Amino acid sequence: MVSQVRAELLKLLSLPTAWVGLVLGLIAAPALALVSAGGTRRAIENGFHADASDAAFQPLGIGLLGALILGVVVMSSEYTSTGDDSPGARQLQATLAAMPRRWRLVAAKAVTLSLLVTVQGTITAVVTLALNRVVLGDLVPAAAPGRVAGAVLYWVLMGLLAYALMLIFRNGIVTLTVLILNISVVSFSYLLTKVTPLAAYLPDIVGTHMFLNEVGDVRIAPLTAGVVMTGWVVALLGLGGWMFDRRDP
Amino acid sequence: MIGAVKAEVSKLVTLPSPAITVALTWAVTVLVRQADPPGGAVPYSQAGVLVLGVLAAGHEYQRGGQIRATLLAVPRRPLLFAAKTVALLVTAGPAVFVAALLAGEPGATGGLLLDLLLAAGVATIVRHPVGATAVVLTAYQIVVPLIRNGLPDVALPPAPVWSAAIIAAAAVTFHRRDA
Amino acid sequence: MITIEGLTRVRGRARVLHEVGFTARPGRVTGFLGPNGAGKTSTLRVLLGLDRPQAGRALIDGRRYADLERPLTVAGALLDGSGAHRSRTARAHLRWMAASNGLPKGRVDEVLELVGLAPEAGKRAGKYSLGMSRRLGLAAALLGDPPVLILDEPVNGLDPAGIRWMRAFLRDSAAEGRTVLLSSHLMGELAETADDVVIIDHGTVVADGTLAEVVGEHATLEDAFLARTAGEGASW
Repeated sequence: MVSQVRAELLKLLSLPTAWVGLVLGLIAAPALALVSAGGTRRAIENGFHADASDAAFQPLGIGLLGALILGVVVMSSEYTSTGDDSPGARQLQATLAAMPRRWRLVAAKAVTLSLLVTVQGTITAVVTLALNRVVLGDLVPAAAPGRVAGAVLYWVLMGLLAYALMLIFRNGIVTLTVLILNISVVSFSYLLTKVTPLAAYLPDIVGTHMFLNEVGDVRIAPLTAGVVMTGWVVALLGLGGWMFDRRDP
Repeated sequence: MIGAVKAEVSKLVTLPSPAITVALTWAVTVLVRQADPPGGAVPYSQAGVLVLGVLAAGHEYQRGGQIRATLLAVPRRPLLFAAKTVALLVTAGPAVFVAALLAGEPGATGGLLLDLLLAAGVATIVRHPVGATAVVLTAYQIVVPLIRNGLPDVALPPAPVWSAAIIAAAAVTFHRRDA
Repeated sequence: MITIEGLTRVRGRARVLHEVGFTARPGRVTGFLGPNGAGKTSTLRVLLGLDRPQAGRALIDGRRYADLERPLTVAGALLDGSGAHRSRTARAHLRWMAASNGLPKGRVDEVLELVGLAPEAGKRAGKYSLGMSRRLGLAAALLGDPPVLILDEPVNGLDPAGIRWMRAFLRDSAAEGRTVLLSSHLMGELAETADDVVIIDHGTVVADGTLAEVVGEHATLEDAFLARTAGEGASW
């Protein structure tokens, strides 16, 4: 398993697109924290946030894109044809020649992705929150380590969610459209919460309770939130893995 | 010119993915309207229109390298670019109008068509459909709302200016670069 | 008639083509030879208006490809791959190509028949084997019944029957008075088909003449080729 994870790491880190996701995830949130400092300050002063500590975590949302891109690339790269003269040839053939046990491959990719996103998410969260303290001063309270860990876990689970959807749909456009919309202002999941309170337990919504205090009208304990979102991701990865195992590559 | 437009229309209608995108956009618009979101259903239709624009222009650059066949058939690039734009408006225009109707705001058609052309322009420049999807959706659904909410003092240029700039940039890149 | 004069193309710091010049005449098969990466495909791409040269001209019947009104009726090209989108059927691919040059729809079925793809014309291009993709590419090249044919490694991916068919097809095309330019690195194949030979190495033309002239005192075309290009050991 270690050698497989090493192989997947080498494979992923030799792709320019993966670096786009990695770097974008690292710089987007700190940059946004700096640029939007004025707006955040005003929002807090005007009492827009019932809980000012949430404001510090808001900019992290944009960096999540980086994790999503990594989750997509880890799988989409396998399906890109190797060259114009051989439209049918894909990297997946070489991958399966080297690692024929498919469930192991699915697991190795999940571990690789989790490792990368954990590093990315931790650095981003620490840098963004520290920057917030610098530019906003005492307006925002210092972030509790537990909430930072929750935010990083949310990143990792969202990256894995993107990977799971890629396993299921084998299509980067579908996966990115669904996930980018859901982390944006026109989130479907958020809209669904207006229709049924049960929608608060959809993976991308419930997970935010791990590090935000005010999400919609429902309060869910961080631990419950973490367990529910992990359950979703495990189930979807299971479905994706099962489909990947059965399908002809 | 007419032959080139006919060819481009034929390319768009014989491909499954744009048709699927249109169907999904309509379905999502209808469903979302039931939920009656605060900003109306148009932003959701808009996401579908953006993907449609990306696919229409970006499918040339997917595996298989169709762009070379296209340029062998119509080597005059400014003419080809014009034909592609006309064909996109002719085929996708009615579908976009229906989406705006379903959203309950037929007046939004013009704005959505500008979005459509902008997305096609980005895909032409980026030459990577998945990457172009990420770029346009992030710009429209995340970056622009963030700027509007976070930096109310910054005046964003109106949508037609953006679309015109991107389309012009796409036309120039398409004309200049090696295929 | 294909006329190439002083073609120079630089990519970054690498010199891809340096003052490449030769002609391919009607009624003859001109073989364009060179090791991998010597500039064969680059030359053909410039000739077809896909890439831009820094200097020189590449003309088909005295005109640049990119200036042609209905290019498919002047020159047909076969590059690597079929150029068909993988989720489009072969017939739909040829239909849009025909429409772009104002060719009749019926011509699509004629070329499908000609290359032997008619029974599989309703399949999506992504499901095609390498040999079938090549046939589809050739069908596209023949759509406009052009007097000039430009083919990059045409026998790549063909089975023995396909190779024999292609050889006969190229000879017949030249016999009908067409200009046929084909690139290849298969010496034996070229020695059987070509009337004229142009050898390119490191972006420069190193030999140009009739097959007999280029072979000269060497025993075979392969010997002549290696003698002219083997300056620095194995090129692969």
